[in-house]
Amino acid sequence: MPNRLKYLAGLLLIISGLAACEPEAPECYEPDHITTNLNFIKKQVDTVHLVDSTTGMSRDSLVITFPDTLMKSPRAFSLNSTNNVSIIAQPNSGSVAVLMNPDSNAIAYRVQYDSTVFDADTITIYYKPSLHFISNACGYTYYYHIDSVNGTRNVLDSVFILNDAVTNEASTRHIGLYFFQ
Amino acid sequence: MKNIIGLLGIVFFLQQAHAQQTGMPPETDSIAATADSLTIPQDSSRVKSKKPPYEHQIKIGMDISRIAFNLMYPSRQSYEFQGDYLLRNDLYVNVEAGFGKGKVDYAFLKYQTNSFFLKAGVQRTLVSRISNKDFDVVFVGAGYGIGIGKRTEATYNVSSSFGGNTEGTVAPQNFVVHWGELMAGIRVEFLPRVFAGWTIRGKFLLNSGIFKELSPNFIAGYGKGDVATSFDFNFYLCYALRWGSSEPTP
Repeated sequence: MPNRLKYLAGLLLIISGLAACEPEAPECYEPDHITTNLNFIKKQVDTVHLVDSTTGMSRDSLVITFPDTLMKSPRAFSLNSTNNVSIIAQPNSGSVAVLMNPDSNAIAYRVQYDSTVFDADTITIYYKPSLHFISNACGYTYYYHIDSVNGTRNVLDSVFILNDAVTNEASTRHIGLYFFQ
Repeated sequence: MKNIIGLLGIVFFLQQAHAQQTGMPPETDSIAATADSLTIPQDSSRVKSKKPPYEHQIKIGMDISRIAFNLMYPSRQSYEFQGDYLLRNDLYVNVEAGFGKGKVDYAFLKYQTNSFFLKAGVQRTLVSRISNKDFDVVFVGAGYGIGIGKRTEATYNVSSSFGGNTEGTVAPQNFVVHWGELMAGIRVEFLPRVFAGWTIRGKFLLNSGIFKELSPNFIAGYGKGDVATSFDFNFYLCYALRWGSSEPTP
């Protein structure tokens, strides 16, 4: 009997000691800063020379594709906010991730594609913010639904919405900035 | 999930099979006794069968590990109690109850929860008894639990990179959750009628979609309310109430 009591008491002490190693502070493993991806896409027009093997006739065809394009050092600067933010993307990036203001329904960014070149465009995004619960450890954040987007045409050819739901998925392509080659 | 349901079914059928082996209905003589107290002759072939002597036992106890956990985790407080009854076929019927509260007090989120629970289950011994006086047990079992509680109004705070914070509240919510359990453990009688032992459990919520938005951080008897499965460890100190006798009457 005494051996059994010692065994049970020792087991209780071990379990209590292991339990004491668990941290009590909240550990948030999900992103709580939601960003909108502005993706750089170029319009590429190629001429393909086709030869019919049976008749021997040749024909030229235009093939239009929209591959992603990399920018040397893209940057984005928010405009007309009380506290503006500046976002610097990685060199040779195919996109720049911008933040949205939950206290407003629109935000404008000056997008510069190369820090050494002054050419830039102003992109204005219109959206609706919605409150979203992440977890007890992370609390709440805001998701966004993009209604429309406008852009100047200094360098850009056009701008389109690719995916209007802005959530915590960082890899989603939200807005496409199209350039002519 | 299918394996868990299959295991619950196996335990249920084991209990039914053992129940059919006991409790043969006693045979009664069809000749009624008359008012002038004639002695009724008894047919030797109709002998009332007697059940073997049996010592009944009910154990009641408390999970003393909760005392240590309550000190280590102030945000999750609970007290749990257990009672079980030993059937003749080495099956235990197990009932548990308890209450607890949870508290979330972060800069970005604040609320409290209060809840209580009831559980019922069956446990099957894995080791045969050495004698009728041996009540040590190693067991596996399954059970069902229900938790009822309330989350108070929650206040949240969302910071913005453009400056300023957004504050708001979420309405309080009452909740009822159901879960299934699989358990294993031991109970050892280290003093006369005093038992100690541990239980490990795997729990799975049966209505995990009940919390559309803000799930409570702690549900008494189950654990974290934002997970569909949970594991737990209990250490019980129990006292046994016994009556009847396991010795045959002379």
